[in-house]
Amino acid sequence: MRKVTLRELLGRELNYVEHKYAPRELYVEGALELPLKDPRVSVVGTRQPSQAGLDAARLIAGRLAEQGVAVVSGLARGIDTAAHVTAIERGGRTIAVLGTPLDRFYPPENRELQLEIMRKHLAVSQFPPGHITRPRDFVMRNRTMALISDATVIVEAGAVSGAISQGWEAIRLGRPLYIWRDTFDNPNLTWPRKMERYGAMRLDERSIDELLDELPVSPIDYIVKLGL
Amino acid sequence: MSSEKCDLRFGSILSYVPLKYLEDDAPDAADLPREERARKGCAKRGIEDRLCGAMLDSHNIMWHLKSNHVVSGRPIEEDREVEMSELVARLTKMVLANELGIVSPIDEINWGARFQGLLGEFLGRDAPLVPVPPHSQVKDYSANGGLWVPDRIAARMEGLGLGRRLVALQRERAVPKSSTRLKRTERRTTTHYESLRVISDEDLNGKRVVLVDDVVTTGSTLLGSAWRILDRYPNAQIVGFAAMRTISDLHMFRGPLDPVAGCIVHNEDCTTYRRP
Repeated sequence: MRKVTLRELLGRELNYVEHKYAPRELYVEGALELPLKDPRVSVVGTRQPSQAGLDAARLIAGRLAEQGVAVVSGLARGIDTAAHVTAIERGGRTIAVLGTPLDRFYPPENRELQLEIMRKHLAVSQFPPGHITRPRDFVMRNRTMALISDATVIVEAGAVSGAISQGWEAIRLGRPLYIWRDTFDNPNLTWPRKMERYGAMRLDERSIDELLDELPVSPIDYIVKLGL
Repeated sequence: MSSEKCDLRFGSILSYVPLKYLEDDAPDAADLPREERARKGCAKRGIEDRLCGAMLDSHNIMWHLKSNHVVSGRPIEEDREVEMSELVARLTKMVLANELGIVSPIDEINWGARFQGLLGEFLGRDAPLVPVPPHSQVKDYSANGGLWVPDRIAARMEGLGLGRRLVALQRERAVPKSSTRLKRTERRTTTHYESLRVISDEDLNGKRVVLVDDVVTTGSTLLGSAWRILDRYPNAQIVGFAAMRTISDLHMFRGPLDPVAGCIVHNEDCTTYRRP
């Protein structure tokens, strides 16, 4: 485990909107080279997903992974787990942004998955080892996840979810936010409608490639080459 | 050009090629990573590697601009790191002062000199710089600290003495993002015009107003914004400034830094086209 700044993780300083909720330092463990070179997309959602939600998470994470996009998620049960596992199975890269310190395993059944991510991929936490977890830590984690991701996809979420905080933060940061079609079209939810007014986009099987169009090509750097 | 119809004159300093215009669309290429698909597409179109690389760079610069990333602007800015919005403002000032070698024209028209001519006439310490609202609704960007790239560019330009930022337009309701989501025929100037509102009391009649945007594609956003201002202030003189423009004809790409001035033209079906 080592301590890095966001500059060391992203390869650049933060702009005026990114500073607001950015943690000063992050604890990381894993094999991915820093600063990160691949585009990154968060795939997040509920801990109690439907079968259709799990299928969608796998479809999205699989397509992103095979296109060289690192799949970012929160290692929670449900959608997050499906996103990480699919990215690994497809030979892609995945980044887990934890709401707990790296020396904790939560949820306990994801212990092996967390260990594999810490060995071959990347686990990130803004909380120091030994930190006692508070409920608000998970909201802070979701903002951090929005910050280190070039785009966010909310696959499935109910009326209350960390994924919703992440969506609003992605909007504030000016990053593309997508909501999977079943959730976007769900008449029982009010937040997708609100987010649409602020620029959230509907994601379906066909529009995954439009999401890819909004991402940079790797390797990412922050040196602007202006000439031919 | 002067004899042809021109509904709004505009200038832009950077250009980019959307990745999707480069990609190899053969069915067997669909599963390749995007960079590879783009490189293959370049090869099929006879675009040499170096030019293809610059096109991919231009796509990433567009991405930096849209997120206002902190970048290193070498070779322009040595090793200083600045927000993309500041780099745009600095480059604009340098182009106007003729401090950058402008790409030699490949056709009869010296677009770079036209940029200097047009924007040189409009930009200046007292020029109102009106940022174009984003496509989605905005509550209060100053209060919640959200990203509004055109506003940031206008502020940086003000900082360099190129004008004064004036928040004069607001989006009343979200409209679909034009650059990636819509077909050309769906990008209607009227959609923008109807969703915008003038929120400044400053009388712009008789003034030279610069609309500031981050990316121009067809020009419908800039033209809709200009109409909205002209509705209230019929005697305002308006010009558009977009940091970056989309290149759809690959032969027109001459590198990411390529200042031009041109025209946005309104069609009868309320679509627009842009030249160059």
